Amino acid sequence: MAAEWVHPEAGLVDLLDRVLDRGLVIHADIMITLAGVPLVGLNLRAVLAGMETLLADPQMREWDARVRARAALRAEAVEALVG
Amino acid sequence: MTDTARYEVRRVGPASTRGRAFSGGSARYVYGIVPADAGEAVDLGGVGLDGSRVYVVVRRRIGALVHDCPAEPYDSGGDSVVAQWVLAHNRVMQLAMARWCSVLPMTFNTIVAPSAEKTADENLLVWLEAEHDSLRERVDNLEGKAEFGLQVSYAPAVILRQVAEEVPEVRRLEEEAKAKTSGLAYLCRLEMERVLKREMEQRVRELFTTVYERARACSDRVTVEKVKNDGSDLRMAANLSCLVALDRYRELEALADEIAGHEGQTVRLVGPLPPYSFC
Repeated sequence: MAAEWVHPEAGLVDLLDRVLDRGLVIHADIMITLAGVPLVGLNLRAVLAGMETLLADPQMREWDARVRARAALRAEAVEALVG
Repeated sequence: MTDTARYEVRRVGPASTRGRAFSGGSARYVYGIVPADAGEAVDLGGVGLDGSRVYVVVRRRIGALVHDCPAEPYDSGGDSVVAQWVLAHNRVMQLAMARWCSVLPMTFNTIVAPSAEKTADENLLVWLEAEHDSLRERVDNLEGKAEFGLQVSYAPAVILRQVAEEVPEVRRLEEEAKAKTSGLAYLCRLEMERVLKREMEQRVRELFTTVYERARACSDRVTVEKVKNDGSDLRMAANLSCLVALDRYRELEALADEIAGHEGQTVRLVGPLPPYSFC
């Protein structure tokens, strides 16, 4: 299978963090400061990261459960094959 | 940084969400810095945020891509509005890369305000002059380079199967489990699961190391990002941002294809992007 090549214009999720959180930051008094202003796109980022957030905490448990389930399946399959 | 005493500090409270459909205003939204020459007047047209007209303010050999805006930050709770802004900001940076072969992107919402004594343009020019050499050096260093996002994921089920097939210890434990009474067999299975998990984690670490080392070999710089999982069956092993020279794009693409050629591994390659992560 070839790598999925995403055109730079296509991936909003790839651009969001980069454009909003990276790039050069100027610390000078001529800049408008964002005191008191909520971070732009917080909501959108939450939506795009939604699945990840849900999975973040129980991730290891879920992974663990999956490994166990697969291992059991594997053991069953081997038994069926050999026995 | 520049002499702060010369400027009036402006702090802007929570911004209104009133329309900005018409560009214009006393402040300058700065998209990024490009290598430019004095007297070079460039107008990119209405490609900016909300269709704003983007043009270049030049100071000696440095240019700032700007549009005119009111002296307040862009702020919106609307997802589609933010998405459009982000895409527009990126589009301007892409156009700059195409035209100047180098761009130093600013972070979103970089806005130069007018002060009591100076207009925003004057403030911007003073800043460009003060930072001229450092900015020029940085855009020169970025010439012909772009950022690529390289994300490598794996299917846990496939890796697990490979481990089960290839690691003798797993096979031995399986055999032992079959030969024993149910209580002891259970303990054998527990041990087998522990080994499977350990081997799997080891393989994922190795996958990361391989991807990282190989990406470094064809990049100027590589930064490691947090892995992201989207709720699918795939798990991400490596999430890298790579700064790659124009003549080495193909190497990174070939690497991506090679990694994706292994069973159970998928690769996303995003780019060429402006070098947001390497400013």
